[in-house]
Amino acid sequence: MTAALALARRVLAWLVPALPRARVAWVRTALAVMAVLDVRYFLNSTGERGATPDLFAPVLVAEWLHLPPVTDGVAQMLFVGVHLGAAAVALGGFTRVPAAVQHAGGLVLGGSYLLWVLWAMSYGYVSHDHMAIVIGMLVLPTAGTSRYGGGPAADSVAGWPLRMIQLFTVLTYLGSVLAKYVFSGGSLLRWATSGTLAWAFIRRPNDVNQLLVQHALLLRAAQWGALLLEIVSPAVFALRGRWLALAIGAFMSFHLATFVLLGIHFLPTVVCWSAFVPWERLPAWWRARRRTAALAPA
Amino acid sequence: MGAFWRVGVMVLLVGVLVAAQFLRADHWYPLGSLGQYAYPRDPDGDVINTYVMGVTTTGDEVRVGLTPGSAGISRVEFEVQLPEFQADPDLLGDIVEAWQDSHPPHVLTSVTVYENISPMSAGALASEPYDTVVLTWEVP
Repeated sequence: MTAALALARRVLAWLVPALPRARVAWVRTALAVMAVLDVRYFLNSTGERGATPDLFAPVLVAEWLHLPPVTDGVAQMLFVGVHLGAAAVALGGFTRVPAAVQHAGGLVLGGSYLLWVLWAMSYGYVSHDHMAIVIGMLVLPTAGTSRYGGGPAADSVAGWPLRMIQLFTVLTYLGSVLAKYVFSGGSLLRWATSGTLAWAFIRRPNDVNQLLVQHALLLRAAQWGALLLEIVSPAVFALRGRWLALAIGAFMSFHLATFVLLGIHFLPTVVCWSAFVPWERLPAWWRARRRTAALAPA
Repeated sequence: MGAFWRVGVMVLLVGVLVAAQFLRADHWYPLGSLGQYAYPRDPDGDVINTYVMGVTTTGDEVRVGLTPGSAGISRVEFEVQLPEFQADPDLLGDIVEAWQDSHPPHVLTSVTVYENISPMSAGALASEPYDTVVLTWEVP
């Protein structure tokens, strides 16, 4: 009985962990900057759909919200909302700015970005790099007030949204393994030995991937490598310090490779890895560095 | 108490995500199928790239670029909806209009949908790609 209770406590402490509150401010700003880049340069299609309302094929959540096809006016409002919300979130991280600024900013940014993304996904094609960031935008406001310079003080109200972002970041990879399993009729072996990578290269030809597209053995090895990396992704939760940094580096390299080979940047998911990074140590590290520099003989 | 609803939300969302993988529910976004490149392409099959060419009122043949900025639709979206375009080619009118709006002063008299076919063998490109015509639509 007590063993079961102790286990339940441990599970709870993992799902809703106490994590540094200051990290929320850093992660919020990282996601906010990504949202601005996204609506400007990457997922900018929402602003271009006004002319083709007949092609509107709403995703489920868009249907629940009774969203009509997007118009140019609404798209512009959301575009402005993402910018204003992001600016408020970024500024709100400083101690001198009233807490209401980051609270309002978080809601405006979350709402505007969610609608923007829902519309972007509602014209036939749904992309898969926008899961963790949207979950993050929705849960980060529950953390309450957070400042860049808050230090290592940790609590579970701040920890939960960070854990949610970490979890859904990892699930982006692990879930895709499950999808491969299902799409391959229950055999990951079939996926690993398929022509998927060559297919992808032929679909998105560039100078680099055209060098590889005729090399069957190399393509197969790359498919095995990608699949194994995705399968072991949950291991990052067991890693600390340098090993965690190394693992994050491995995933960054994976995304760099898919960017070079396929032009797929996956930045909205890449940014969510920030929830694993101890940004809260940055201000103290910076101060210490400046102090050492000041003390050093000229 | 707060911890319990947080765990509840977490478990619920993860459950939806897992269910979406088995149901291949793409439209459950943001918790939909993570099926990008999940389909095991036949290592000895053909790869199809769809593209659209148009003829203008001045008789020039032009490429109708399939991006949201150019024609209000991306190539993948176009391919997903291709059966609908084949059943009712008049649906191409939206795309023609969007493309003309973003490419003045061009006006199209007809558009032709092509498929470029690349044969694969053992999971690699095996021979030179070639083109086939899917449909031609005269702009009314």
